Amino acid sequence: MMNLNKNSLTFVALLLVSSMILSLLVANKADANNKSESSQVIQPNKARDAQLIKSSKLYKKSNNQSEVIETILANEAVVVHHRQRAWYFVATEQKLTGWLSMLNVRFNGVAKRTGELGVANAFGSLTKTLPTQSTGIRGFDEADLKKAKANFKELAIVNAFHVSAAQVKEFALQGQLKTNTKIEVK
Amino acid sequence: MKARHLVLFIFFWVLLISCKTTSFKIGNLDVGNLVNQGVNVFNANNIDEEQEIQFGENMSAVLLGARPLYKSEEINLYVNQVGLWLASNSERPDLPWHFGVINSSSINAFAAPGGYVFITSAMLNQLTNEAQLAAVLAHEIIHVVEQHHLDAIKEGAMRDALTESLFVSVDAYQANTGASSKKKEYKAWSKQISNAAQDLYSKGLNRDDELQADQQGIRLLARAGYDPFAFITNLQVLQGISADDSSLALLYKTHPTPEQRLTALSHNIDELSTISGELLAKRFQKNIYSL
Repeated sequence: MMNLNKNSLTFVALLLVSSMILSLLVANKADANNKSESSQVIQPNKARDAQLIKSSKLYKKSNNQSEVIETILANEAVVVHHRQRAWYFVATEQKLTGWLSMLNVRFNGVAKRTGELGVANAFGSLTKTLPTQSTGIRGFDEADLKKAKANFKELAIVNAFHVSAAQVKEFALQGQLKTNTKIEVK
Repeated sequence: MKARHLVLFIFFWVLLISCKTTSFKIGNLDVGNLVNQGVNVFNANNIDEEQEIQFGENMSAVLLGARPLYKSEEINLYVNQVGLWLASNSERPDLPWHFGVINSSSINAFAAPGGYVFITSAMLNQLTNEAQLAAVLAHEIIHVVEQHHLDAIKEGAMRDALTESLFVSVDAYQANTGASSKKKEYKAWSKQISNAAQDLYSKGLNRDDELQADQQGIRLLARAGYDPFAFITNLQVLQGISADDSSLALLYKTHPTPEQRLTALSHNIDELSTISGELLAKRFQKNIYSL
């Protein structure tokens, strides 16, 4: 009886392990097929590697009336630390720090995002994503759009989101957002 | 009236006149017969706001048929608050604006006529402050304000006038088919619009419309009190993601590249250089990540 129980337990354990491995494999295959991925959060306000697209003056302060520290050549690598209006505070390869026009800077491309095809995707909760975002989330492409059928149930939900004009004003007030009437959109 | 619109107007006028004398059919509809009966047949160049909203509803339903909403009312309401504040600063503040987060790992955002704007959850995940969220929404709001999708549909309708029944009204469809219930009405209408919506969202708008949405979007952002350079940050963040990342496939297919958009924007933002707006990073983090 003991032997039978032991064998049964071993069998059940093996079955559980196999099914877990199988489900991981299936999940990964489905992920690959569905282009499922968990998003890596890119935080542009944190230090990021970048390079210049053209020669640019490195200023002491974040305006072009300020003292010029050096002219940085096109394609030179910099590390972007933070931004103030249209200026990035950077460190150069020569250990200089100062302000560059953000328009002349391009971030280095990040590698294909982690978890897109690998096992890591099965553990999406370990990466920082929206709080309730599931790992089964899918992207959509042209083919998905072509076969999409109108979903009026979801549309009704969108139409039901209600924020009154007074609430919007209060929201703006709380954020200290004020209309800048000097700026015309067109 | 733009020359292009004039040509379209004449085309449809001639089309409708000819319908009166011929047995002209679009799909299963005998348009000639309907016109003879005095049934309203849309003129593609004279779509009123109510019709525009109806187009938008049906196009949005197709989009939501591809992927559903992100299931958090709080996040959707937050996005609505940001969007409605921006929209109130736009040139069409009185449209019934609706904003939604689509649950998808594709990085993208969409608009539909009549005031519908959607951002994907993956796009939301790339952002770190409210100004960046507002920048995405501002670009889409401009598409609605400038009626870019309607223009694209009109041009498409002209090309495919003989096969598209897009501009035949629901009334006309009902009169011709005997459909009476709301369900049938919607079904018929959405069937007509679905193809156009699928086509439009797959192919995207034309390049000039996208660049115009950038040019005006960054200004709308500044007008609403946000830091306008969050718009540039967004493009730089997108540009910094590997081009072969599948999450960007549709965005790249339907938009100029971030590099092209950055280059185009850089020529027209001098007057914004001294403007300091709000970033609201804490409020964004609180509403998006602390729920």
